[in-house]
Amino acid sequence: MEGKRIALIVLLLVSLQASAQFGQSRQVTFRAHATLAPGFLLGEGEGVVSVVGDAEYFLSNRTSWRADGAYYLLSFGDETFNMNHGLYSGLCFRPSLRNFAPYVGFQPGVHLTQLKARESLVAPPVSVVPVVSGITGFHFFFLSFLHISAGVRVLHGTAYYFGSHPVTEMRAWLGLGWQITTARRKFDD
Amino acid sequence: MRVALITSLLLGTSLSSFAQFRFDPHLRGILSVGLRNTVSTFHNAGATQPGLGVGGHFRLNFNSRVNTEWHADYITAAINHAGKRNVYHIGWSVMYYPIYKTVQKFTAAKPYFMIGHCFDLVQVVQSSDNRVVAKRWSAAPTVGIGNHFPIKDRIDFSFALQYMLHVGKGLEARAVNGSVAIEERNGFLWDGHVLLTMSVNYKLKKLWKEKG
Repeated sequence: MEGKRIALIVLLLVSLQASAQFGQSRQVTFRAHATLAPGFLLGEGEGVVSVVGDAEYFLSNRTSWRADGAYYLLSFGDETFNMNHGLYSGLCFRPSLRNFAPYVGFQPGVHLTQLKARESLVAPPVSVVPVVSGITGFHFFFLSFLHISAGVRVLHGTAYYFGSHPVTEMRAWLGLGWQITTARRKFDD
Repeated sequence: MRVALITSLLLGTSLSSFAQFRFDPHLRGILSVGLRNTVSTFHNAGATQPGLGVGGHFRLNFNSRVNTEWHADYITAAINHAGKRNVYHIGWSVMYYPIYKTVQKFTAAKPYFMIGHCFDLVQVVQSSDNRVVAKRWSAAPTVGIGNHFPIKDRIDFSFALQYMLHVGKGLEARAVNGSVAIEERNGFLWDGHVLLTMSVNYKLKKLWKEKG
């Protein structure tokens, strides 16, 4: 009983400490992150897994230029695609750059897509598919060089090979990233 | 007829706003970079549904009223089950901001008219052998309207609606028994489509300073 009470108090103190850190402002110049990301192909009704990575340069405390890549690994369904890698680039916005920093972003991009060969032995061609994508999520900067990165991407595009094959996907990730801060920032809000 | 109406409407509004033309010289020379998605509604060459594209552009302000946009796009669309149509655009537009107070201040919206030109390469790709079965170069004047939605001083979202009128050799593609049948027409063809573009833009720097 006593042990439980002590554990509760410790948990409360840690939570309070953590929440106090949430609001502390933060200076970051560059950050990057890579992890595994489960996703769901909304058009094909198929679960997929990709390796995702991103690199982000902070133009100001609130805005950043971000480039993302996704390497398609495997499918839990009918394996519509043999290859479905993605590259995206665009801007992200956040209310302010604090330890806990939620963001939204708009990133046009392309997918390198190859459908799985079905009836024919000839491999379908690799095609470049334009996609529109939006992201949202948060970063939690808990050390001077480490942060937690979590987010969701929704993307839409269509590959054409004997009909339309949407690459439309919702993808989520959670992982560890690193950041650096230079002494002088070029731009500020 | 439709094009003539839109053009005369745009021209009339622009001329009336020219009568009270003022500009802020400090806004000239600003270079921006942007990434964009384009939805294209085709009415020709066999595309059976709107195409989606990706691209980018630079913008350079000549003064606070006049901006220019230099863009490149890659757009794909289906030709039934038989193939696809790849479109490459490279071109430029001149944008004119008719409402001075939106130019001068940071406002929620900044509408503009735009008129421009682009070169267009269409490739018709057959699915059965992934072969380019036809291609066509054409030139295309564009006219449209748009709006910037500023997020911060340096950043904006922009939406633009343009009508693109192709002038070049006719090229029709149809799906026949799972293959693409091509019909090329001699002489010039006038055909158009509507482009809806959304972009995110960042003002990089001011390229030249004012004298004095």
